[in-house]
Amino acid sequence: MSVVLQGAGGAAGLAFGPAYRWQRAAVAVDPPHEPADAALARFHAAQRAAVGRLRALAERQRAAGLREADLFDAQALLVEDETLTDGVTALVLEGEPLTRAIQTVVAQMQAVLAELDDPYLRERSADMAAVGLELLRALAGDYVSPTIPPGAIIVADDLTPAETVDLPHHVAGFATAGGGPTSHTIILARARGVPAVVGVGEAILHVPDGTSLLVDGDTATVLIDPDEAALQAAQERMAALHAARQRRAALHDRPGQLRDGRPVALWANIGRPAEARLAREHGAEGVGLFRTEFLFLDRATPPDEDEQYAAYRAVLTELPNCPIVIRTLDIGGDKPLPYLPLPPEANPFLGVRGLRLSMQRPDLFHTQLRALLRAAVHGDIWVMLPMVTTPADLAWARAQLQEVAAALAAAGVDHRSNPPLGVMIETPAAAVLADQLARDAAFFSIGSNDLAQYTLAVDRGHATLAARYHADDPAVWRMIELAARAARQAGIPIGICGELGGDPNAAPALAGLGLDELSMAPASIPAVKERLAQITWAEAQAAAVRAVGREP
Amino acid sequence: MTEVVLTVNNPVGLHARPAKVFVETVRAYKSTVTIQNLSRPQTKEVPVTAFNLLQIGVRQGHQIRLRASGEDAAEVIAALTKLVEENFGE
Repeated sequence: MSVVLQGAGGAAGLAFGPAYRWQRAAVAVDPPHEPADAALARFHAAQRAAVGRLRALAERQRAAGLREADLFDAQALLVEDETLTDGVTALVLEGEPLTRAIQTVVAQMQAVLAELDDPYLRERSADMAAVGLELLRALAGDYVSPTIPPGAIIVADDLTPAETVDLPHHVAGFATAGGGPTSHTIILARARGVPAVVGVGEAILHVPDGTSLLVDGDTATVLIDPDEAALQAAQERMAALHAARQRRAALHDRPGQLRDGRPVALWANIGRPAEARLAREHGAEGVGLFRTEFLFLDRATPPDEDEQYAAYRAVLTELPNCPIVIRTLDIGGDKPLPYLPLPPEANPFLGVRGLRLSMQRPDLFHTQLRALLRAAVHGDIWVMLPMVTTPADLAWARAQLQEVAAALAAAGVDHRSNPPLGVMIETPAAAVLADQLARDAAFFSIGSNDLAQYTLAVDRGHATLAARYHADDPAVWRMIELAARAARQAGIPIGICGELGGDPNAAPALAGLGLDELSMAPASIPAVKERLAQITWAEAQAAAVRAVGREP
Repeated sequence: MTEVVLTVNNPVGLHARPAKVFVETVRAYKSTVTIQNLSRPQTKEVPVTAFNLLQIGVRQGHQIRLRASGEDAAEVIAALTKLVEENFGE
């Protein structure tokens, strides 16, 4: 009888093999009544060993071109940290056995990080736990990997990043009781191309060695003792995935449309000019979101007009005759730039971000608009404003555009003075007042990620509330419906550029609400195109009625 | 006592490799060096150690104040200032 365990996250792929319970080398047993100086000598030796090992792993990762290399360097540094060393030394001098002293101090340090009101720092708590485990491992002095049979599925309570990297290459896959979807362990498994599932819970640990396991990284599930039928189903699914890829390739040159021919344009979201090629290869008919933040991040001074102009033109060159929606700078106080000192805000998502930042720094906005108007001579550029909440926001931006166009005209610079100026619908205010915004906007694009966060009042990265975040909640769908209705009445096009736009399951309802264009990561286009080609306009409308929760 | 206020401009802030270089530089001198993240007013002034750098979470754009006391205080502050101003050579 097979049992399914659901995990918290997975590294894509399917693996089948015998379970092998991976055990951390037995934790060193402290000699009874060990003198403090002897215990501290063992501690220092373990620190040296752990540092050497972590540095070597960092080098290996770096040589392989993996970004996780820095992680091991950071852990090596923590192994020798003064807080840790002083804390352990003090406890040992008080007569505490070494192993327990390390465990206690590491737990205290973890607790300090876990309490900080910054999600990034809270995550570092896991680094500290890994450091503790590495130290205990070094203390046991046993780095020899147990003999793992080829093709085995590793079962463990949790794996530190170092342990993940160390697994022999003949391992078929792994499943861990602990761990989350964004843990380094899963990132490293993906980098290695090993199918894996993390966070499946304690039950997996009770599986006897040799039991057949089917690890499905795509659905983040582990099937214990799968029967013939389940195995066959898994194989068929792999075959089906392969066939779907072939089928979708056949649709490549067709535009996005429903089965009865109603067009729904499929555009791509890109973050750099180089990704325009990817968009074209996946059959994008336009770019629905070109994020311009890459131009502004990771540098000491803002990009000048010519640099921006060159970046915008590069996309036009790669996708000639396609509409290219370029979003103006969209950052906030959670991501301050060196040349743009922003005071820390208690609530960055309700603070100065998107167009509000442009309003505080019109100099940056004007430079970007100048570059956009100049580039617009060479193609179909649409200018999109992020974080608009009121018609006054749009009116302000329109006035800036006119001012910049007048200045370019006065200077005799080649430019297009009136490219389409549209707004992202990503706040409930913009959705509710969409009819007013539609009077002066040339187009709408639903920013479903933020729209869902603001509508549901849930931070999608929140540790305990993330499960309440559903971009396909009826409340979010009704916001989209409001914007779509306003766009239709005003006769302006409406699209979507949030993650919902790339979800094949959401595509019918989005089409049914009358969206003209769905924009998504280039790789998502083939699956959405296929889904749309399977349904009629009437079916799409029925899906929309279900989505907004207005079924009879 | 030597003191300096700096803005950290490199992309990852005082984490990963920059944190490593920072801590190793401090370890190379005899003076005691403390750091405070002025951009996170709720954090305290703490000695420069790997764990403390984690705790005060210095990200790109943050302002820090460094204070050193000891025989080579001026030298260590000069070395750290150079690191920060040159974005850790990135």
